[in-house]
Amino acid sequence: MHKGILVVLMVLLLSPLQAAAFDVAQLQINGFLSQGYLDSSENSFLAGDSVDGTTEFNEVGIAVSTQISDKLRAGMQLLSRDLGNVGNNEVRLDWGFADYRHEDYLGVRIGKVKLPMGLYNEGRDTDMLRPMVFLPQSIYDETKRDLLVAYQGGGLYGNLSFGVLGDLDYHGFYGGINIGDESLLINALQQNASFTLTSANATGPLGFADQYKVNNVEVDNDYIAGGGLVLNSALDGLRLGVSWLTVQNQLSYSGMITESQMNPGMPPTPNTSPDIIGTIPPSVGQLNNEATYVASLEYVYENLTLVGEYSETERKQKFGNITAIDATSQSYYVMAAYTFMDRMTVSALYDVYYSDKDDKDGDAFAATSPSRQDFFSWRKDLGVGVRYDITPNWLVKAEYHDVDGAALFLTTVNDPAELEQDWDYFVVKTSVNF
Amino acid sequence: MKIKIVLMLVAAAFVFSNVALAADYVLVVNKGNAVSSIDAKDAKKIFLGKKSSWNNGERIVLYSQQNQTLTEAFSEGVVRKSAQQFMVFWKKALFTGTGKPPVEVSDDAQMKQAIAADPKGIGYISASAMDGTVKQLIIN
Repeated sequence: MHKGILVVLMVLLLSPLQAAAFDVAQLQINGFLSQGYLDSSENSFLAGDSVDGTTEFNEVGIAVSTQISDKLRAGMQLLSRDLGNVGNNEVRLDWGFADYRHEDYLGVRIGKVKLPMGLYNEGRDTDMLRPMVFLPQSIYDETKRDLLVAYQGGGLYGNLSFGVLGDLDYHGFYGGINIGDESLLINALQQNASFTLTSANATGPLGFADQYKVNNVEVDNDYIAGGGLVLNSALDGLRLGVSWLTVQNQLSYSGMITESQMNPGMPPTPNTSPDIIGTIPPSVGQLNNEATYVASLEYVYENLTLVGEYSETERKQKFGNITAIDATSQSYYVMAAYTFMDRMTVSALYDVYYSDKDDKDGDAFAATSPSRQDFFSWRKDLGVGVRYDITPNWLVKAEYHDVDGAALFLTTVNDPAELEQDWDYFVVKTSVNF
Repeated sequence: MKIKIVLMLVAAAFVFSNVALAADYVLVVNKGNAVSSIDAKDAKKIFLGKKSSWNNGERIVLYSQQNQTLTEAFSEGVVRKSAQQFMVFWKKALFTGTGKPPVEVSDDAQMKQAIAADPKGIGYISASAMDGTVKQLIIN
């Protein structure tokens, strides 16, 4: 799919048929580069070695765009990123599309387009656009980036005037997504599939049951669809938004079956080298975000920015006929940022996530296995940060977060048995752009 | 009586300070542009890329200045954002592919030169730099 989009873009950008319509000199080339340092205590966060401090945290982007005619633009951005084991600085197409704006109230985008979810998802890869290093994780979860960063397909967008109410930006879309093999989502799916199949086939305590080890999961996206509305109210600085999307994916997986991790009839002593006693044949499942909606409010008054967003996601996950997840997650945050002397911005954030809004204390989740603890099902992040714009094109940020809970795939970069409920992390990052 | 005088002086200072701020910049277009005035709402939408064409259907080309003081006065007066917020707004458009930021010129002289050469252009200059090479666009 990437190759197809690249070919279309190259044709648009370089076709001799277009040579008369635009000057190659009108190609606009811009870029950004950022390097961070992430250090956490107790638990690793996003990168498996963040407890020791890691510099495997960077992004490099190059954007090329051109105005082909008064109504038609085309462009693309290549992105190389690294965050622990994810990305590893492989260069990928971040976005690339042709944009035909028929009128201000109606335009069409075809290609790979940043996905309009909440107020900030479209700019999630560009550090300079936000006061803090990470967007609030409850809604803009880094581990689900592949699901939420961009769609490959078509979208309609525009701006409508609503008189005394202000004006309304809209963007509706339909398309597909690609999910990388190395993403934390794949890792989480392997863990969940292994647990689900082991539980479903156990006749006694899980530790003494045959262990199903799913080590090969692929996600094949059926489609993603959704849209966003943002009202730029007549009250200067006040924006209200609502967005909705649905993602339907087929899973295929396989693996092996090993004998019990524990020795039957003995005190609970680990069986350190269990034998392989069977295979999990190639099978199919489902991974669906039946519906995600986000309600947003942003108010900017002079140098003060106040933001609050609320979201719920209906999640369904099945391996074969066995339902692994059928729950609605809940996310919300409030953030304040104040800019002093044009260059210094201080921020405070309170960010909350529950993987099942009907099981906020995690009791039902923890009851499924002794290896699952209640705090795996929530995450409450209290963060403070500072951003300093050294020049209009160079900035540095530093921030500290105190976190309660281990939801949002912390099990993928930590040994679940070693996870701590209370942990914290510190990030410093610098970015330049041109 | 004294209180009234003080209040009148404060009010006068407020009025004159705003006049002075408002007079710091003027919007300018090419002399061949048929448009002479624009309402404040449309001016804001133009510089935020939400109104992208002139009445004759031609695309509007935006210009901005590196002069921070002037850009601060312009962005607060026209788009109701600080200069930094205005810059971040357009960088978001740039790095998500959804818009083309204003062409940046260094000063009033370059702005007048650029606008005089671009029939589709709109920009801003210091009020004191206004001359016959470009046309002032009155904000209603």
